Amino acid sequence: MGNNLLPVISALWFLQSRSLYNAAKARLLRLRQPRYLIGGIVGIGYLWAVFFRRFFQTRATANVGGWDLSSETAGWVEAAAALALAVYAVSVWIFAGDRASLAFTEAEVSFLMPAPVSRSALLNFRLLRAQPGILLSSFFFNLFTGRSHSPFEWFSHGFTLWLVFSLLFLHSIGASFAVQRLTERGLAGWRRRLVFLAVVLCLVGAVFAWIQAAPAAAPVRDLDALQDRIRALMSAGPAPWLLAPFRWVVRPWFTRSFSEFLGALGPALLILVGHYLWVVRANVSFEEAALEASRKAAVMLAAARSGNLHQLAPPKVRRDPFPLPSLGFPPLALLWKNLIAAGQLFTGRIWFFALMGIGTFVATSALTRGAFSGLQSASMIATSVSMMLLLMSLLLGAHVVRHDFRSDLAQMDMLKSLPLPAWQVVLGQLLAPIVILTAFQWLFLGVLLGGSLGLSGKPDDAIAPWRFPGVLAAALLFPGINALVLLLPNTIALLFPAWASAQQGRGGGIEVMGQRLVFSLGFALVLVIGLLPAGIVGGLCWWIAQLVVGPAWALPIAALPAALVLLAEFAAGVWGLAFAFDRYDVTSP
Amino acid sequence: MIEVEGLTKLYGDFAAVTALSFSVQPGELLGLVGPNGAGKTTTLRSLAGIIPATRGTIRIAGHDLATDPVGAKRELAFFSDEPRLFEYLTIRQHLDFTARLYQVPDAPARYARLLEELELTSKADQLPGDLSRGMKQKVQIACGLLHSPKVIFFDEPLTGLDPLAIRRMKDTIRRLATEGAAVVLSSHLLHLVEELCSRILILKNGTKVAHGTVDQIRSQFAADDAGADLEEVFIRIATGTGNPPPPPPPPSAPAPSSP
Repeated sequence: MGNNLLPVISALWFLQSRSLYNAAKARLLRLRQPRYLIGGIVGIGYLWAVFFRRFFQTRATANVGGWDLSSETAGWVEAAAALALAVYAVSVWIFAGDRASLAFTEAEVSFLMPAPVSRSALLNFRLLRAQPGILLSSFFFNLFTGRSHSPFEWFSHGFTLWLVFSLLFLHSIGASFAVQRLTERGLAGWRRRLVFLAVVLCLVGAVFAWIQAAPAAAPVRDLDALQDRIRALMSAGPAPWLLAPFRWVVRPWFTRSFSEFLGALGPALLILVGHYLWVVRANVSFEEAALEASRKAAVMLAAARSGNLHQLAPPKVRRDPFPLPSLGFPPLALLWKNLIAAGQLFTGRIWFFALMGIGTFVATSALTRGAFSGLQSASMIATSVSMMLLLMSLLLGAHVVRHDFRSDLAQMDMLKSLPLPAWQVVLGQLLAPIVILTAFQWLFLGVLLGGSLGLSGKPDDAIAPWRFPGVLAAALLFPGINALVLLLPNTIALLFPAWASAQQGRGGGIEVMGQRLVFSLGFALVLVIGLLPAGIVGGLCWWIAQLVVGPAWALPIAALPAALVLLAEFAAGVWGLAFAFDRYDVTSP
Repeated sequence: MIEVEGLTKLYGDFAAVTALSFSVQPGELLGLVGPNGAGKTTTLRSLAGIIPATRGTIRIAGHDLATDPVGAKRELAFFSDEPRLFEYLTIRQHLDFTARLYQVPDAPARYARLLEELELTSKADQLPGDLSRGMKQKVQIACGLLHSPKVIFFDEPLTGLDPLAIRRMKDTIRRLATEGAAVVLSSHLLHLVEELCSRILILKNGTKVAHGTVDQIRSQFAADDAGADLEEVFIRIATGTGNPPPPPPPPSAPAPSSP
């Protein structure tokens, strides 16, 4: 340890204790704001209902022995956990960058790097600073895995989790230090990765060679035979030796008594101490890499706080999605801007090729009608995937495609100073995600149609009469649904910017989790209410139309008035949002 | 060109700006100064229609900002202290975008000239991320001047600029005023304000404490020190050690009607 470790520890203690105290105080004080208070109550209620209530109820009423694994199952789980640790340990060496990875916060860099503190003291500072996070992760992981019933299991599981997380942290740092040393000695990049990969392959090869050479190696024909083979693999030969250190680390979790736990703890702690000494004695010059890592961490934090994690990669020059003459309907300029922000995926050229591809697929499917088995398999996959993606786009699309007010909250100064009526700004800002989602959905509908045609041709093709009308009806309805769905998050962004900011990752805690729950429930409720008028109108129209054209073709006929209702609701929403935009205060917190 | 009467901006019970009245004529350059938290940025944002005034009237080139915000905004340009550009639009795309929003008829010719003047031509297809702060400031100016605004607001225009860029920015501001724009400039750099502005408005705690030429303000707050510069006057006002402002003139009697 460094000769000036004690002052560092006292400084760290001061920093951590004051930071925790101030953070807790700030959290408590912000509960005076209704949005945090409501969020806090909902968050605590959720945690209680889902985790703590069960824990206390089971404690009071049951005498169940925790996870209650049979010794054989416990052996399997232990081996799987050890294998997962081994894979992580190996991947760290293979995928690590060429430089030491030890991130400090920007404040730590500016205060500690120039301070009269030795490198090892700095390192100890960083290792100790990770501990609150590791302890908290262990606690919550223990809570969420939530089946630890006895106090002993609470302790043994929690302690093992802490040990594993600490070890993973130390191992990743130690590996990055070792990798930096190798880099300094000329073994860098792909050469280093190939060497590691070769070593790993040799070890895996040795295990497989042993399996092949084993006299009792019977062919694996069923699940039982596979289990027997794995059991044999784990009990003899090189595999048990290779996995032994990893099993030592996870073993305390599987102990059933305190004495057994203490017995299992020795080797695990030894490995932990070994890792600690390996890291602090590495004497690697990590400062420069730490500066870079800190800068990246700061950028990532800022991106997370502004809700723009998707914009972490440096932007590239992107082509105009369409020509934008200086005269014309101004909201198209906002659509144009947001499509550029959305990326190269939304240029006319890309969509031309996508449509050509889909068109070819639909045409081939329509012409062959499932004549080839290969095409049938492709059709099956295309149908399933497109249906899944359509469903996801409806449920999650508005949360994923955020090129609207949500991504421009930092630019509200500019948007507010535009010489446009508020409704035009609102419309322009909402257009891009509607266009993007609709374009994707129409694309998936095309794939769905093609896939469905590829599966057709059988005499019992029950969906045949519904195929075209159904796709047409969905194509008519999707833009309106998207527009309506996108109104909701944008309304929140304009009416409750602070809530929206909290949604985008500014601050954490139970109260923010509660806020997210409130938002999700509100979102679902408003969506149902919003879709109801269109549903009623569509239903009525369908009932009338099916009397004339039959049930299938009544679908697109009914979809048209339903889409018009959605459009009217959207127009009313834009009108309302325009008021909100007019009253939006760029200085509000 | 800019007429402000009784501008008040409240945040709950807190008054960021209180009953502010002034006017700026074409070709005039008004310096808005005051200590931190005096309400300068709030005033500028209210004048630019970015935040709504709680009370009062703002007229920009004859358009009432409350009743005709679009007409008013079409005549103005607001340059914030930090150039906020879209990181994924190139400079040329920024200009295309602005031209459409402001419906600039001969945009390509205008922005070619602006790019040339601001020495941005070679950077036209670069993203803001590739530019220095001074360059970003220039892009902001190019976008703001594209529609030939009659009223221009600068909030701390020299922040973060190197000496050469400062010189060019000062020349630009001076030229805009000379060409007939009404310019309001907010800055902590008092020597800049003294050098550029024909009149100065000093705010303190959201209230106007002085308004006039440097000489008028000097005579009002540092009558005992004829050599006092604006900095000295400002410090006296900020610390409350200056001469007390004269009492407001009594309401003048209505002019006698001509026989």
